[in-house]
Amino acid sequence: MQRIFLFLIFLAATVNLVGVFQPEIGFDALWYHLTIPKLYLAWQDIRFIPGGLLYYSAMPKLGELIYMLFGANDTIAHLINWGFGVGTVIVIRKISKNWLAPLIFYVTPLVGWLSGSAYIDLIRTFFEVLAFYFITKNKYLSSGVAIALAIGTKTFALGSIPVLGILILLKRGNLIKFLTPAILLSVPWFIVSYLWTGNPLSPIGSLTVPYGLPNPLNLWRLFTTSPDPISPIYLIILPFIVTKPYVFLTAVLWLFIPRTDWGRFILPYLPVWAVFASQIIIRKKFLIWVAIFISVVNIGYRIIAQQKIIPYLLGQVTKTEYLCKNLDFDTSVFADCDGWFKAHLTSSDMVLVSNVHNLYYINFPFVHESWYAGEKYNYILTYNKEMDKTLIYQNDLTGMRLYAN
Amino acid sequence: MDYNVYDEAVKVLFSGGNPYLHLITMPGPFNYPPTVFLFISFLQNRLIFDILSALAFFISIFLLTNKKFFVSFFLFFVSLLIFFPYKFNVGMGQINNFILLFVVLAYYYNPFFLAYAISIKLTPIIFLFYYFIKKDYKKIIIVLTLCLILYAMSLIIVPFDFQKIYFLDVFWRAFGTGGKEVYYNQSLAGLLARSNTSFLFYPLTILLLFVTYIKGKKLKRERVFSAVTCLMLILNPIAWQHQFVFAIIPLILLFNLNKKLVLAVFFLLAWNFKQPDLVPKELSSHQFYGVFILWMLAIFGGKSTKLIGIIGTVGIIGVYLRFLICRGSFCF
Repeated sequence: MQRIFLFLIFLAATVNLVGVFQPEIGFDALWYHLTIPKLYLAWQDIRFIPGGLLYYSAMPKLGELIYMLFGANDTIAHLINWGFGVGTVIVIRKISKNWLAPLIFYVTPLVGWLSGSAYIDLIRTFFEVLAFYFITKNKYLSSGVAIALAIGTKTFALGSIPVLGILILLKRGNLIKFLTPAILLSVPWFIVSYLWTGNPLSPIGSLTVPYGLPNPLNLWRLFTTSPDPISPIYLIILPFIVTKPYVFLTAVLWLFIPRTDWGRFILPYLPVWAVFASQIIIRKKFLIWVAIFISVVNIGYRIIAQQKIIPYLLGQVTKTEYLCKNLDFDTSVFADCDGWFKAHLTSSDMVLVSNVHNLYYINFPFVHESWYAGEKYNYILTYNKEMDKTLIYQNDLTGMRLYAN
Repeated sequence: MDYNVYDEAVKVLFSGGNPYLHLITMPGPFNYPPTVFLFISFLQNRLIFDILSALAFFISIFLLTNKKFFVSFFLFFVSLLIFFPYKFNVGMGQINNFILLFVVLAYYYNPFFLAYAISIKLTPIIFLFYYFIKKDYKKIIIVLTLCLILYAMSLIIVPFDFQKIYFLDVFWRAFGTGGKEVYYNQSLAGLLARSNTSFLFYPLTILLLFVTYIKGKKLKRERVFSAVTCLMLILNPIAWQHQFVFAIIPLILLFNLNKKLVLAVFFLLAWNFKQPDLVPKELSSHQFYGVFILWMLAIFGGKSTKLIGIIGTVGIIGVYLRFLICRGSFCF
C-alpha cells in the first residue's frame, strides 16, 4: 500500500509541477503578492506603500520578500510554492511515518492550485507543520522559530501560538522556550507596521471584513463545497479526530477567522489533521480504498483543470495570449494584450495609473494614484473611465484607456 | 394553525356546508378523510385538545417504556423542553399525538386502534405491512374490516355527496409533485427533492420495503414495529416535522440495542433550524437521517454502525463529486 501512496504523491507532484509554468492569473497574487516585490525591486527600496491599494505592504511579508530575492518572477514564485508543498509532504512523512498522511494532504485540489500560484499559503503551511513537528520532538525553541516564520508569512498564524502553547502545556513542555523565539522573531514585523502606519496589525482593524458569529455548519461547507475544493476525507474522519486537542482548537480557530476565504485559511492546519486521519484510516481497509479513490479523483480533477495550460506549454499560444484569454478583466487588471504599450511607451515616459487594481503586468514606468506624490507624468491610464482629455488608446477587452496629460 | 382547520371543518360541516369545498378563514378545502369527523367532532375546545394531546403523548411513552412511570415522565419532560417534533405538534394543534397513541395501543392491545388511526389519517396504513411481515394476516383483515365499518359510520355525519368531492378531488391533491423540497418535509422525498434526485424515490422505496420484509421476517416484533414506524416517516411523500413524534416509538424500543447511537439520533430528531435557508441543503434533512439510522438499527442491529459509516462516507463523497462536476459546468 505504501508504494501506491508514494506513487500517487509523485503523480500529484508531477501534475502540480506542470501548473508551476502557467502565467499568474490569481487575483491576490497580481494585486499584492507579486506586485509589492516587483515595486520594491523597481524602487530598490522596501517601504510601506501608502494609499488605498497596496495597504498589505504593512503586513508581515516573508513570502513576498522571498519572491523579491528571485526577481518577483511569477514562474519562480510558483516553483518556490511548489517546493514548499513538497517540503510540507516531507515534514508530514516525518511525523506520521507513513505515506498515507502526506497523500491525504497533498492531493487536496487546493494544494495543487496553490502549488502553481504566487499565493503564500503553502509557505505558511510548511512553517506551521514544521512548528508542530518540532513540538513532537520536544524541540520547543525550533518550534518557536518555525511559528515565527509562519507569522512572518501571514499574520493569521498568530492564532497558532495559543494552539501550540496549549499542546506544549498538555505535554508539560517548556512554554518559555517556545514563546521566546516565537515572539522575538515575529514582533519586528509588527513594530515596523506600527512605525509605518500607527497600527501594529495594519490593515487588520481598518478593513471591513465579513464577520459573523462562528457557524459550525461552515465546517461542512468547507469540506464539501469550498470555493477551493478540499478533500472530503477530512470530513469523513472528523468525528474520530475532533477530540484531538490540535484538531479541535484549530477547527474552532478557523471558525473565528473572518470568511474572506475558506480553504486557504484551514490549509496550514490540514497537514496535522492528515496525520491524525491517517492513523484512523490505516486500520480500516474500506477507508484506505476511500482515501485512494478520493486521491485519484482529486488528481484527475487537477489534470482536467490544468488542460488549459497545455497549449501555452507547447508554445502554441504566447504568454500574452494566455493571459488575455484567462484573466478576469472585470477585476480591473492590466495586461498589454495587443502589445501597444510595449511598442509605444519608453522608459522616459511616466504614466499615472488611475483606478486600475492589479498592476503586476504593467510594463512601463508608472505611478499609481494611491501613492502619487507629485511626480511628473505625460499619460494617464484608466480602467473604463472617461476623462476630459485626449484619448490616445483604448482596448475593449481589457477596458484600458490611455489619455495624454 | 392546524387546530383551526379541524375546528372550522367541524363548524362548516355541522352548519350544513361542505368542508371539502372550503373552510371559513383557513385556505383550501379540508384535506382529511371523512372518517376523521368521528374523532375531531368531540374535540371542539382548544385547551382540552392540547391537554389530551399531551396526555396521549405521555401515555404512548408510558406504554413503550413498559409502564415505567418515572422514566416516562423524564422522557416526556425532555420532549417538552427540546424535542422539536413534539413542540411543533402541540404548537400547531396537530393530531399526531392521538394517532401515535392509537398506533401504540394497536401494537400492544387491539388492532381496532389501528383502524381508528387510519380513519383519522391515512399514513398509519403502513402498519398493515408490519402484520404482513409477521404473517398475521388475520389482523390485516380485521383492520380493513374495521376501517370499512368506520367509513360506513362516517356516512351518518358526512353526506355521500360531500365525500364524493373528497375522494374524487381533494384526496388526489396530496399526490401533487410540488412543495416536497421545503425544509419542513423531512421524508425521503424531501431529501431527494432538495438534492434534485427525485427520480430515486421509487427505486429506494422498493429497496427499503424489500429489505424490511426480508430481514424483518427473522427479527423480534419490536424491531419490526420500529422499522415500519421509520418507514412511515421515510416513505410518506410529505412528512412534516410534527409527524416525527412517531419516532419516539423506535427511539424507545431500540434504545437498549445501541444507547449511544439512539441518543445521537434523538438530537438529530429534536433539532430544528430556525433559518433553514442558511443551512447547507445536505444537512437540512437531519430528521430524515435520524429515522433512517433508526431503521438501519432496527433492521441490521449490531452491524448498523458500520453500515451507517459506509453510507455516510459514500454520501459525503457523492456530495463532493457532485460539487467537482458542477465546477466543470455540469450541474444537476
